[in-house]
Amino acid sequence: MATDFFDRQDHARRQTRKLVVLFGLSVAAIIVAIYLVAAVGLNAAEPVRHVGRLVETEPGRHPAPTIHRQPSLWQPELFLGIAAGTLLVVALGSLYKISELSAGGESVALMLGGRAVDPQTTDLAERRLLNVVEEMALASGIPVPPVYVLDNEASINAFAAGHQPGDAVVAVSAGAMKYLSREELQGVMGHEFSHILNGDMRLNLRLIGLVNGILVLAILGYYILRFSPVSSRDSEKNGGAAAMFLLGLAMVILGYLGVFFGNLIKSAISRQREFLADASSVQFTRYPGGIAGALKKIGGLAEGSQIHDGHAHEISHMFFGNAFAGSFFNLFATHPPLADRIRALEPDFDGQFPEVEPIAATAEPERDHAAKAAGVIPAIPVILAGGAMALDAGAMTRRIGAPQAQHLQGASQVIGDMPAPLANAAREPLAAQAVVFALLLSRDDDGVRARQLQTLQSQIEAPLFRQTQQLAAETQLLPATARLPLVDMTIPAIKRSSAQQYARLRQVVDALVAADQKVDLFEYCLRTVLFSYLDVYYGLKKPTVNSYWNIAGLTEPLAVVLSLLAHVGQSDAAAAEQAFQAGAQNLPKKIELLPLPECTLAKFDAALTKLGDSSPKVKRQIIDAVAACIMADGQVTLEEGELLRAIAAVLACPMPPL
Amino acid sequence: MWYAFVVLIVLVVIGLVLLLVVVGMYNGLVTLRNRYKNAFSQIDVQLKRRYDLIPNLVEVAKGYIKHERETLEAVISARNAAYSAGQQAARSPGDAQAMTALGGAEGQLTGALGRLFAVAEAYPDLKANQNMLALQEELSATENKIAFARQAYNDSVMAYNTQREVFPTTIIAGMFNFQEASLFEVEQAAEREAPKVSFT
Repeated sequence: MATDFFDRQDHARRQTRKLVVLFGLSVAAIIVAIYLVAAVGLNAAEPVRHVGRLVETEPGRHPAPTIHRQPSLWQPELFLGIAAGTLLVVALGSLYKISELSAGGESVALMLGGRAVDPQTTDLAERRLLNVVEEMALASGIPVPPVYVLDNEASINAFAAGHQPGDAVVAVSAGAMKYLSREELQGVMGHEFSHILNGDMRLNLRLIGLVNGILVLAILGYYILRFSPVSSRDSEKNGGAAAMFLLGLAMVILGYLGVFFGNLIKSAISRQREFLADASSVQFTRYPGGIAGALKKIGGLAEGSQIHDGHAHEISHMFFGNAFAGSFFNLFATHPPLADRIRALEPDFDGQFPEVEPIAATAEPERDHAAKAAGVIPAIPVILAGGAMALDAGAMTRRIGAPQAQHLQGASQVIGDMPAPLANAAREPLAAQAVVFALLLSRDDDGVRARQLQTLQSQIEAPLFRQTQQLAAETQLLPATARLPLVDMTIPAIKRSSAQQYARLRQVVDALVAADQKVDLFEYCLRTVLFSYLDVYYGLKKPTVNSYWNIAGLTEPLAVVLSLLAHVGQSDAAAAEQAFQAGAQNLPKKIELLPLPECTLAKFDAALTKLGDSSPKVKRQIIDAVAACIMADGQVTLEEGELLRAIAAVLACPMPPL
Repeated sequence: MWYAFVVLIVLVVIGLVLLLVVVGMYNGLVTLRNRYKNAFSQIDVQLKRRYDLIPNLVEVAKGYIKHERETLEAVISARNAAYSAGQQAARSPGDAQAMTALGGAEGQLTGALGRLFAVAEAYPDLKANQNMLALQEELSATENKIAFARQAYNDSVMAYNTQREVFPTTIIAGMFNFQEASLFEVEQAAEREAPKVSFT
């Protein structure tokens, strides 16, 4: 298996490229075949008139045509015409499908009859599902995705849809909520999260699009066939029409053949990704019994994992289990056989599927039982904990997009330890704003705090102001390590406000940050973590683009980022120099540590924004440098941890908290 | 044949480009429609919470209020009317009739509640009752959430309606029957919220 996030993403892209090549070859084959049919058809239908016409249209080039000239199979104009036509049809057919599906994960979920689960739901089964998703998102360092339930599907299934982690949604069938235990649900969600993190969603989108391009060709052929004048009596006089008929027939046959092979390729790739996602899920939950149990229940349930909604075939390979009952030869199965998947997880599986009983919904435990049972409840959550931590720098890069069991446990603990008033407030759109404001109120400077309160009072309504004051009492006592995770928890609730409401939130946050005339580190990190995803969601900012393909052009901003990290993480100049050099050593160009006064957050922000627009390969080098700088002294301080979260957010790398 | 192909290709290109544009506009409308429907479900959740609180409130008040019992009955009947209007609206969020009905019923309910609190002023024991205080507090918190959710809904409806009326999206909206969505406006009997002051 690939080693880190960038490798896996790269692997997904290579799969796509391989597919595009295969696909290109099949389109080329289709063009040649259609051309042959058309050429033979034209010649057979009316060789003489055809040649004659050629002469008429191009008298200059054929000064001495003879009526007996042998019809040629090589007609460049015809070939070009067919090639151009086919390519256009296929390209536009693909684009059409991709753009149709690109309305985002939300649209896919709604298309399949999904219902958004209310974040404050009191329904026990829904609450459990939301908690599982929230823990996983926090553990893998992506914003909590909206959760949908397919109420009309009694089978056990689930899917994730979207383009990138930032706009993903997850959906589960009603059967999955009814029959799966918490551990099994966790296994299924771990599988879906790995699809999100491994770049499978985009791969899926391309797969669907490409196959659709060929399908459009077949459909077009069908219409040509249907409406070509050959079906009428006088057609025999018209050779062109006969050729048209043949052409249509060829397009239909070849198009469907192309779709057949396209689906074969698609299913083969899809099955491979499923095994990978199963494996990642186990890595994530460290409990093979969870996902294996869910798979066994699919086998034991009469409905299995079948999805009845008519749109299901379009996204069949995004599902957790086969959405359709046994297809021919298993060649088109989007997923490997259940027993194979279970055996990959539990080698001694006997092939017997259990009887499936609905699970009675029980209240969510106050705290994560797993963490309690393991007896590891430190006073401060392990997440973002300051102090000594034996980690090598390479480990950090490997963790991106590959959350481990300890992250899940840590996340579930952070959520469990979060005071109830704060956790509840974070899940409600209005109160979530109050949480953000309360977090920004100064903890140590009463003068600044008074000014901030004044600013708040003038900018927000009285009830929201009161709520902020109430929550501030809680946030003052919150361990510093839990502050950014709390910000993460507010994101899905804030997404439920309108663009205008978000714009105002942004404005008030900026006013609060500016109240003391300077931006401190936590304020900066909160702002960055909160806004980098939401700005894209509300269309205020474009998603990051790959403008920089080589790190050599980015040494200047990287020097700023590493300098600030070095100064923030180390107490004296010598240690800072050492940390900086650790980060800078593998860069192609030599860079110098900037003196502390030059390392402003404004400069840092500008530099980071520039780094955000780099290609995945460059991003890996950046993360490596950043990790080496932080880990130079073998310790991650709170400030370093928070800055790392901000960096990961801007680079759009799903990095599990340390 | 060469020309036939050129014509065919040109037609196909024009057709498919048009299709792409149409799909883009259609997607945009669907997204905006999803947003306002999601926004309504947010209101719905809070409205239900409010409808659940009111019977408890009336139950507590009953123990103290000896005269003017009709105020209590008025609150309950207004609550029931608003409840069914809410269910109707949740079935078809944005529907003009349903939204007007809900707005009216909510206005009635707010008015009835206001009269109940006015009556309660005359009963110091009731005002000091811990349950009453807690319920009142929760009710006003819920009302704030409703107001916020309502603003989010109305903003989303405006965005959708604007997009719907802009050329050339308006053609798509007509073809695929994207109906105009209605705002959710409550006829305020009395504004009890503090006015927003802004010095910016």
